[in-house]
Amino acid sequence: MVPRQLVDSGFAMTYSDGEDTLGSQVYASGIDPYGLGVILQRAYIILSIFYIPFACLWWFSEPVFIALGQEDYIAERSCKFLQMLIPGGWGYILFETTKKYLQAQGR
Amino acid sequence: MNASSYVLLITSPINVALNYLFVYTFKFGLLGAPAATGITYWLSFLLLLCYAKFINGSHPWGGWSKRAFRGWLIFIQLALMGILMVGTEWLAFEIITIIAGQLGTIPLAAQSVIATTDQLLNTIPFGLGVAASNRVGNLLGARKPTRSATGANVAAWTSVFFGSVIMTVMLIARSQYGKLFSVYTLSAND
Repeated sequence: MVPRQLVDSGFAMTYSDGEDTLGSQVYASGIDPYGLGVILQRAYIILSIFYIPFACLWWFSEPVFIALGQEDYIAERSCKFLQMLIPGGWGYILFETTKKYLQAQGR
Repeated sequence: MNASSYVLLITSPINVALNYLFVYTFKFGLLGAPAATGITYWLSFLLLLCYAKFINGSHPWGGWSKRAFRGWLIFIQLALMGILMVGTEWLAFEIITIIAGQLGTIPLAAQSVIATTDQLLNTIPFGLGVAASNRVGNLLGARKPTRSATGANVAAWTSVFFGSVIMTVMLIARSQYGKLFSVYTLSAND
């Protein structure tokens, strides 16, 4: 239960809040035609860097789960689950970021 | 409907099929699910890129630029605010889950019903929030502060309305609702 929710919590959604607020303003102001594209690039870079500590936490999550009082077999298998999810998590961040880029344009 | 809804409309069934294939047909077991989900995420991202490039939305893209390495502070500030808000909310629910787990299997099961419901219902205010921040942002960018403020107020009142409707429905349905999740007939009174 705990590890599954950890996965579901969607860190990318919260990270990309920055893009929500900035992107829609830059786009609508029309002063900088490529401003939104630059924000998208910036979001790709920053959010990918932010993902690294989470990927590390997922990779080494077994002792963390044990410290939280989970049983050994749950901790071990949850850790394997999260390790497998690491590449997909990055794809999710890129998806969310691109989604916000389109949403800021009203698409 | 917007672009990402179309993409998810395509990739959600693919996700279900891939999960089934990996877990049952190919017998990858536990690791099949995250592998399938990861592939779905990448597919969604690539489809969305294709939409932006070939259908609509490529005109704000001026190519890779050094400007992407400037202005990180305000972006990170906004992102940290978002993390703080959503992170503390999730943490509150994680604490409940951990405590419920120590109370035993049935409280944990009841808690997981609540948590699932919460995730499901959370999509409504979350969607409202995205719509509101884009609307308020667009109007601010277009230098219409009064209409922007109206947009924020509309969002607040809409969320009060939806919150009340959901609360009423849940209160009325509370004794039946748990049965959707379980074949056992332990109710809230047991």
